[in-house]
Amino acid sequence: MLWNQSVFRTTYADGDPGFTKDTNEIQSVLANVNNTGTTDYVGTIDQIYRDIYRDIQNTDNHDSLVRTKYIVIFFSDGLDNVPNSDQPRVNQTINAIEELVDMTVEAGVGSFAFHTFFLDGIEMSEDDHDDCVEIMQEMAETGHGQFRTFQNAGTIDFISIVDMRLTAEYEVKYLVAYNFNVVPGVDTLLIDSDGDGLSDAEERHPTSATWPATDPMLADTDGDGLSDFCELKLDNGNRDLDPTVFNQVCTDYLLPDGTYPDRDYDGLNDCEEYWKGTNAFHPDTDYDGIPDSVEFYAGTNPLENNTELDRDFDGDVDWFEVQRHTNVLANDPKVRARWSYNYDIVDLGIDPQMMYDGAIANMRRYDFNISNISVMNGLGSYVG
Amino acid sequence: MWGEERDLAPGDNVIRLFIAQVPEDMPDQLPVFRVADVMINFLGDVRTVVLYPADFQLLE
Repeated sequence: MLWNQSVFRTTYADGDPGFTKDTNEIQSVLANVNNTGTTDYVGTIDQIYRDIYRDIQNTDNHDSLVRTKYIVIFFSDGLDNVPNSDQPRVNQTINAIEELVDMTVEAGVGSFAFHTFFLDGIEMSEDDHDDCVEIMQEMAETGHGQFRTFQNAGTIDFISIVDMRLTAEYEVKYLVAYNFNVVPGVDTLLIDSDGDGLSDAEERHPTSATWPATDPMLADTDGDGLSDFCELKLDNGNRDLDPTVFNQVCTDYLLPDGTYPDRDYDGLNDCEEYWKGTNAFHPDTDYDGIPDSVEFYAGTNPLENNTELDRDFDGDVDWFEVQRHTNVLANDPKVRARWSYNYDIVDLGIDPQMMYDGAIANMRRYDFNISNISVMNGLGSYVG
Repeated sequence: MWGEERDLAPGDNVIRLFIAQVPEDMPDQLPVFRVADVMINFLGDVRTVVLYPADFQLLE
């Protein structure tokens, strides 16, 4: 798709407008593009926004958006020079790109990049030239793209300049199995009937004399939206958060059916994420591959991507202990020796698969075998 | 604890499997997650569960 004052749209084989890989179609559209002499940064970016937004909305299978890649290459040979406008409209331009980036992120698009290419050589003052380079650099930075300058636009090889590939192979960054009803202790495993992160024993007999006993069969004893474990971990010591007292802390999140939403399905509801400071729209706030809920329950920091920490100095780094379901916060040689999960992962290579639209996609297959996951005889639990 | 609230019977254990994937050339990008839940009862006979790709839900 090409934008140049007016929009030059490529079409599918059936004549409907849309993105295409057909080189003949692209060539025919290119033939219609010419430079009109006016450069409208904001208007062009707004049009790009509308077209990408429409393309996202028209996606039949929204699961495919995480594998979708949008690449915008913005050419200019001069400053934004729309008549009767303030020159240059820097703030509007940067804001427009920020909105474009935000829109693709919120839609769950896998990758978006806004590249800017300055076609140098047009006669202009030195100040205008410097302004143009500066704003296009800022535009590329805002759009997570690259800025390039060219003296001659006739022989630009885009593929070697920016990452234009339309496919990318995904690899497994992290794999974790987590039994929410078993808590790794120091010398043994502990039952957690309601899966709230506190063992039944801790709920009945709190280790702190100032902390109240809670119901081991009810994850949120007071029903205020914050689990017992969450209130214990996030309380400031003054008992502002009390797991036995209904606080009005999550009232704004309560749904009509009496539940609390977990929009990223990571195991922490949106209110708990607010209090913890994690992202309620993505299951992995710090991008380390370990979901926020698993980090929170296991005792690592979901806000910090640090794969080197070994906070209990037992020789196993935290991410490894989380994966093996051993105690991250205590030297636990017995637990690690007897109850550590075993992972066996085999790469089976590329396997062609028929996709929903009939196309063939080469997908990498893995065979996972996870063993030695302990199960325990909990009391059961009920939803309050 | 998990996205949908539910009662658990005595002996129930909820095991959640997360797979985080990233493009191999951009490993620091936001991971894509697939997740599957397995329910195992301590008092039951099932001790081995086989999962297939269709058992995993893509988180967005």
